[in-house]
Amino acid sequence: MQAIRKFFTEFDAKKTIRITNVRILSQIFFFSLFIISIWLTWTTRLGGYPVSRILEFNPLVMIATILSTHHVYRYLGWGLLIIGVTLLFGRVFCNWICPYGSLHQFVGWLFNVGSGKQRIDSNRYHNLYFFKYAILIVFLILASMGALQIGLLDPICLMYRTFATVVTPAADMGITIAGNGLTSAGLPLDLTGLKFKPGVDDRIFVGSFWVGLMIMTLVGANIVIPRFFCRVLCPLGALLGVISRFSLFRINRDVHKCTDCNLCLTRCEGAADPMGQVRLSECFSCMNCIDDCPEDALSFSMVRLDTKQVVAAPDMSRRKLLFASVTGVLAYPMIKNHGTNTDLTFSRDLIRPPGSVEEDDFLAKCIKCDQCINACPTNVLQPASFKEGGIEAVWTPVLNFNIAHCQLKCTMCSEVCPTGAIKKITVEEKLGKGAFEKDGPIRLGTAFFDRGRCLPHAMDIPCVVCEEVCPTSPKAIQTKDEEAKDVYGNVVVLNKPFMVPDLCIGCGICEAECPIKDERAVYVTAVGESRSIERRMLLQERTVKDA
Amino acid sequence: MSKKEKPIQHPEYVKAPMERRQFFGKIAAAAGIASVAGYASFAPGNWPGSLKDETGLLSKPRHKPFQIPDFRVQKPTGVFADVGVARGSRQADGTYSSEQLARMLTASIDQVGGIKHYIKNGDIVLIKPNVAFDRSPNLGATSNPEILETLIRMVLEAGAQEVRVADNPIESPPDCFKKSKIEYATLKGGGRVYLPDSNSFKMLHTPGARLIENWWFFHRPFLNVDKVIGFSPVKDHNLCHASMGMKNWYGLLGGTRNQFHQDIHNIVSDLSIMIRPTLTIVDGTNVLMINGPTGGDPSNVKKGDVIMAGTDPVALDSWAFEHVLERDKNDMPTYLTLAQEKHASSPLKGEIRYEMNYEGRVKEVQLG
Amino acid sequence: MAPSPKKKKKEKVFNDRDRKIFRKRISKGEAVFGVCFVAFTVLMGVWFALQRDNYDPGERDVSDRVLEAQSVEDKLYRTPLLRWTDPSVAHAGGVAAPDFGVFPAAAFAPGWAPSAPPQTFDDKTLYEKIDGQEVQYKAYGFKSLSFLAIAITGGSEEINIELYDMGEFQNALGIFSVQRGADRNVEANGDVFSYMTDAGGIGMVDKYYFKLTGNDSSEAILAQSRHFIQNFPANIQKSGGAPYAFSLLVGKLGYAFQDVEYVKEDAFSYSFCNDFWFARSKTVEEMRVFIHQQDGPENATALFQKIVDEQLNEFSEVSRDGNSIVLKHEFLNTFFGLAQSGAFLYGVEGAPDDATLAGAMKPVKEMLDAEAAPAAGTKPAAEAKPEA
Repeated sequence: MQAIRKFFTEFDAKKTIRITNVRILSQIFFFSLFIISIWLTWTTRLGGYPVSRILEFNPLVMIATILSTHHVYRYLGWGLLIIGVTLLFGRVFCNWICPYGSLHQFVGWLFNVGSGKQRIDSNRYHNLYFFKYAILIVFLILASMGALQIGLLDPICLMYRTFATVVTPAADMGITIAGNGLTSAGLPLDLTGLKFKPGVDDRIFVGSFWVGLMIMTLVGANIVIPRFFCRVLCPLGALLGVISRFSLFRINRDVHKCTDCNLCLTRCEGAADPMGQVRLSECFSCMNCIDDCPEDALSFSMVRLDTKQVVAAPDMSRRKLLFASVTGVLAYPMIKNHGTNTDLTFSRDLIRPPGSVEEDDFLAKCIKCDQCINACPTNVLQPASFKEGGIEAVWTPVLNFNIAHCQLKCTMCSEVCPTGAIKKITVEEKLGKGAFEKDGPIRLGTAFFDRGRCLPHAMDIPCVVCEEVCPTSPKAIQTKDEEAKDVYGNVVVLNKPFMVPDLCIGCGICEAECPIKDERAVYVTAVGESRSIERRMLLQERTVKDA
Repeated sequence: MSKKEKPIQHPEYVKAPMERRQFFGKIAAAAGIASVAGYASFAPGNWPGSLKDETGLLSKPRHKPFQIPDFRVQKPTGVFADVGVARGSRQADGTYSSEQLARMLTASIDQVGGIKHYIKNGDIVLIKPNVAFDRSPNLGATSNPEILETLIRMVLEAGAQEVRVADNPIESPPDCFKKSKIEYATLKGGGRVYLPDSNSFKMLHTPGARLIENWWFFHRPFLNVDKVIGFSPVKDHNLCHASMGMKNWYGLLGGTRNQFHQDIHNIVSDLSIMIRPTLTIVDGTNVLMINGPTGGDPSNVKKGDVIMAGTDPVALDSWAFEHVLERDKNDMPTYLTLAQEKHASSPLKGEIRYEMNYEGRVKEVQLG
Repeated sequence: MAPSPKKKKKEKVFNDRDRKIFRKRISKGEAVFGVCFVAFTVLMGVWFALQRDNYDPGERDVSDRVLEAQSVEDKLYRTPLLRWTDPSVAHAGGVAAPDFGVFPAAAFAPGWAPSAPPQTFDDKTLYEKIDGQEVQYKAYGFKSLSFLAIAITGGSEEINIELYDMGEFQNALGIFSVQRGADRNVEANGDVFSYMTDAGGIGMVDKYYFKLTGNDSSEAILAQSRHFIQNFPANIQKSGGAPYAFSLLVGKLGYAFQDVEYVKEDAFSYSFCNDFWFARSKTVEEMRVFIHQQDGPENATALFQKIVDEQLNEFSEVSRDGNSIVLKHEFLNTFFGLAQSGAFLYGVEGAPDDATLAGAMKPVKEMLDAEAAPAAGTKPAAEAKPEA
């Protein structure tokens, strides 16, 4: 009551609508947009919502994919918008838009209980902060040679990946537990609609612990160094930092008014030294310093700028620049010659989602945002570990048929992919129907039988779940039917399954449904995938001989 | 004391000896904690309040099984048919008019007593279609959405307060419900869709079942349900020859159900005693003749133009096997025989017959 | 407890500082920008929400029209079901399985194997095997002959096995009755009727009539013949078994197999009397009991009347009691009894006197009344008449 009265009596429109409040509003808006995008990325909700747009506005993704593919895929050109905004206002992206930045700022604000003096000290520039530029240079050089690794640290990719594989499963698990608790307490409320991924079993992601550990560490680091990730590691921030030296608007300090009280450092997000020479590449344009200046010495403006009290360029000496460049150039052959993902030797588990381009091209496009994994309705898409694609393909999407299968008429992953690593396909294209009849269906791999583990083949026990669920017509799994007398003297009919590789599309439902759960008696391997001639298996498909 | 005391520099270092009361308090607290903890951990397991677990079995997770009631309804007096069959023709373009479907459905149910006899005012009705795969409706792999919509309308008109539609498909549930148009048909008809997720399964106890005496069951849609109607297509099935009204209930099982194919006939016949539906409706309009149960090509489908409804799923399946799927009587799936036997020995058998022999129990009507 | 010397500083979990604002000047530009920005976010949110239906549903499914246009008929070759065979017979120790033709392997004792490939003859080729006798077989509805010669390993004994498929039980019985030596005692074992000869055996089961002819009267040949008779019937496909009237006479009324006769046409020399079963009395010479089954009671009544009308030319009526009648031959002085029970006609011919006739009629009447009466109008049992 009192608070409401206080609000009305002390309401000051100007104070309320001041720039720092508008900034918070913007952060809330974009963070919500991000959460809503994640929430909408689901087969029953997707519709035409642009759920990957935040990724597609990412200028680092745009520039890095241009370097690696020399083309601009679908909506990636929108990255220019952020570049334009940066040229106008500096790194506003970092403190106004970036959901990862907002998360860091929020955590830092919530837990930073230090005294004013401690805070001022923690927000001074530290020469460690150059490191993000080195990372950027290494990544961009790698990208220009064809190895796209920006996704490892790009904040938007990192955020999407974390939500896809860690946060949404955890939230859904919580709702499941709450729902089961309510049901057993006699309150059968249906909480399904609240879930990120309703209507399916709770999902699991192989190796997601490491994704979770990464974000826990990076968020936790805020307690030691505020906005550690943004200041030290963020390659997108570095890119925008390089651009923002040309920005029209910037923080300007009026030396005549300034009393060198250093209060402006209390809440400086970027450690941009507003009390001295403002570091343009570091400033997030959070505007906190303006609020904190008792002398009104600070302003965000484009006129009457003091050109002396400014450090425009990033803190990169030519020595560091050279070192980073050499690292980038050397990293490429190190990654490629590691030899875990070439056409000569590749993992049989490296099965890419339908619509994926050839592996070299795929690695030049995939930004590991795992939005495809977020969209996958069956949980078959998993972030790769070192095992499937080697060091280069960590956290790229692969199919794990132990968990589920690739749904026949689903192209969700291809629709949400921002970079075209999984190019947008239609169901007709996936199934090789309509205009795509000539190309045939998209094959993800080929299924094989392990007859030593197959129940009818090895143990005289009837089964053939694999044949039952095989979705092609005619079925790619056929059976040789025979009677046998088992050791107990029962005559049983055994439908012994075998593959017709010409018909197999590698969807993996046979493997997913095989009851030999640890090492399946039928399993799909990557060979025979239609995206690559190098990894093809059959020279040509056999046809029915007319009698 | 003449000796001059030194001023105390640090007041926090002043000695404060423990008082007697404080000492005894601490002793008492320690003794109390020790005795309660000691009792809980060492007293025999059957003493009240003891946590003792001598064998290690007490802490084993247990799932308290529940049972579902018998949903069957006695036929009205004077009605003798256990299976009603309605045949009707299509329009010139190969589709049915919605009136024709409604007429066929009504006619088939009327032969066994009419929907008003089975659905009472205020009932909560669960309809279980077959939505196992994400095929288009005309491919015969899933239940016909148009008939489902008609059925939901009919059940609501008969006075039901709520109609639920539920299945646990083999493929991704949201996609299967969407692509098979079952979700659309349900919402259009006025029903509610229940998708299976981790919240939805509970241990079901089925007395007399061979393989699923206790098994995970899709229980959420069954909360407070009064009547259950099975609604399935007729499909070819390599392993058990045919998937019709009884095999449809497979879609309510959870857990590692892919093991059941090792004894498919026993599991399907177990299903017939696991759930005793009010009505079983089998749709023979698009019959999947080969490549079942997934299908996928229109050439696999035969236009059957028949809808069946019955109180005896065994007779219904036998009839459909011979007359809709057009198979030889001698190849009749073993699960039908087993279902008949299991029902006969079940304590819940009641007066409604579950018999393969459908002679004289099927009533057919031919509509225009 | 002693009070702590100094109140402990409260530990902060969260930052509890207010967002202070030290500056004095807030420019009007900020307010303008703020309002513009709020408008911008609202527009953006609206735009986002409007994208809901901005997609082509056709891309997310494949239409029935396309499927129909590209439908391919399934022409894959599928291996037929491989039946289980006993590997000890089929592949004993790597030796090729003996070819017994249509005969079940279980009918042969160990040591016996075919000495020539099995042969099959139908009504057009039957003369190749039994030239001259085929007329007799064909008269009884012969269908096919399966012939197999078997020999014992390491011995000189051989058996020729002839298996005649006569189409139905009555035919097999007919040919068996004709070929049977009159003095032979037939053993009945379930539905198998057979007797042993000096070097083999002859018998019938269901629609099959079989003859085993050995080249010697050795114990080995007789043992194999007995083995065949015991094991062969259990392993063949049966067509329906004996007709009801036959099982009634042999099984229930205790007439000997060799005394039972089937008359397919022209019983009592009447062209309308077909399908009659006769059984000779063991005690009274020349007396025979007969049974006939009609399609229904009405037809039975009609036939009853027809027979009585014709018989009255030679017989005179002695007594009549509802649907049973006793007649006496005008010259031979034998008695003839005829009665109807449901769909059945039965009676006795050639009885020396009234009492004997009544004595012979009584058990038949009891049997038929007991079994047929409750189901009057229908056949007494489903297996009463084998399918033709």
